[in-house]
Amino acid sequence: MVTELKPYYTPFKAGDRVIELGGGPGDATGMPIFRPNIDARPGPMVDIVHDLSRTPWPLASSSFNGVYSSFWIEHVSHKLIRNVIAEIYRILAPGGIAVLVTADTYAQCKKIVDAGPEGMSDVLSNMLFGGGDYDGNFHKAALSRPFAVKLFREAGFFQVETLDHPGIIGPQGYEKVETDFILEAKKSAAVITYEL
Amino acid sequence: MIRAVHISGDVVGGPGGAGQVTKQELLALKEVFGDDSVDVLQLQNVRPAVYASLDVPYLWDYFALAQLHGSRFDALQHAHIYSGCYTETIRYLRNRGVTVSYTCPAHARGPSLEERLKRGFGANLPHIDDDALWAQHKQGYLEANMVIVPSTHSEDFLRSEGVTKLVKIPHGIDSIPDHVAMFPDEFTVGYLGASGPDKGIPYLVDAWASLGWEDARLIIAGEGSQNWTGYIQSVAGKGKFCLPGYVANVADFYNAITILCQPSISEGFGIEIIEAMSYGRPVIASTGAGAADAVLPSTGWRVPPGDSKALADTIRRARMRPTVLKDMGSRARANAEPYLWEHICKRYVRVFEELRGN
Repeated sequence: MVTELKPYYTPFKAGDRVIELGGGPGDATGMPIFRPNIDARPGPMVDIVHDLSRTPWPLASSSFNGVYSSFWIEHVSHKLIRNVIAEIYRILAPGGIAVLVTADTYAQCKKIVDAGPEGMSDVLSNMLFGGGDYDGNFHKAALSRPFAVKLFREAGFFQVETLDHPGIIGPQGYEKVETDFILEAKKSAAVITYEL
Repeated sequence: MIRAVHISGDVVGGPGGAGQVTKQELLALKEVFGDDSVDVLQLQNVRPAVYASLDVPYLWDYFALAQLHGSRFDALQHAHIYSGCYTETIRYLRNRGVTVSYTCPAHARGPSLEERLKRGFGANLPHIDDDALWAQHKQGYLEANMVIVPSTHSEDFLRSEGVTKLVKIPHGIDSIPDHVAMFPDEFTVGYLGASGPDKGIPYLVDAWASLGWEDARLIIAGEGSQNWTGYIQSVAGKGKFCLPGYVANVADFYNAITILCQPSISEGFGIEIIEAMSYGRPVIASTGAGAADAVLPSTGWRVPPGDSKALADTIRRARMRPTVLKDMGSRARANAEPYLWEHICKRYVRVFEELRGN
């Protein structure tokens, strides 16, 4: 039922400076929602060309009120994921919010187990490993909701929560998407000084 | 000829509360036994350099024992021990006919391991947390001739553990400052002291975070206070925090605050409470701090330890009554006078004289 669709609205406010991470070049393989958009591949809608797994990023500290990414962070190697989360924290201004839409590897694995050996398919391979149609389009980190929250809390975010993916309207109507989730992580706006 | 010895793992007269207390204890020992008849076993001359990076409470017992076997202690009559675990040392001395007095600043078993992990305490207090180690530690208090405690809370705690030979002597301050500053324009709550797990700082930070005030300031001062940055950022959505670390001149700290808050979970005394009173500052003290004895309804508030909601509620109430705060500060300053060391030290002298007479 289409009525089950619960739209998700980002918490960004008008006038917020929001950067999109890995939003894609602006073609069929990726279309950013926010600008500036920073991506490893150049394209008409890429404002800064940079491989985001390489840190530090060429962005000033505390320079954005919001960070957004959609299906990007799971493409960062699990060996480097803490570094990039630290960079998200660094570039956010106090009180800033990061919103990441990402894959829930744990839920994906459950879906594969539920499908059984006979149910394995190209669709499930694509879900677990990524599109695989160009160098950066492979999943390199496995996240679950609790693990993602833990990683962002460890990076210093003061409020981290995960939300259900709103679902999609497919050929059969509304489809619930249980294998993805949205993470919102807020950076503290506390003012800390060190001089009496 | 050495007739008395002061034993501790601290630096006698060093910075911090332990330094001040041991300094007065040593002065009293010298008054009773004579300047040249008192020796000191302390951090610098007891712990072998090879153990410098270890902080194992029980090692101090054996370091002290090794020193006391020296011939210079053949005529020893009395030993005073400040804090730490010295059960074997006390047994050895008592068997030699030496009287032992023993200052115990602890007044509660530590927070549970579960609570420590939840609060991110990096260290623990094994000698009072662990049942077996506490049994060993407590034996020293049971076997000493007299245990000196700084507060009612410490006294009650040790009595509940079966210790009966107790005398209560609070800690003190050197002087009442001649001049103190007016309260700062911006409402400011302050904490001054160490950052150890027994100090309860996370409860104060949580309380301040829940208030969310952007026109008031919390100062957490003391060695290493900058290390609270990460914790604050993880629990406080907003609010103003100041982490100056070590403060060379404590007057700068007390004159910068409106109220002192001492959130200790377990603290034998907490001299900062008396110091703040001497600067005319009202105090919010956890009953986990022994010096809460000195906090009266006319000079401050007492709250349960480990209760950030009670702290927040009390801070909020205090802020709503600026005129009352000034009156409380004036009364606190007057009430600090009996806690001058010149008065307190005489009480140590009386204890040592009584034990010498025995």
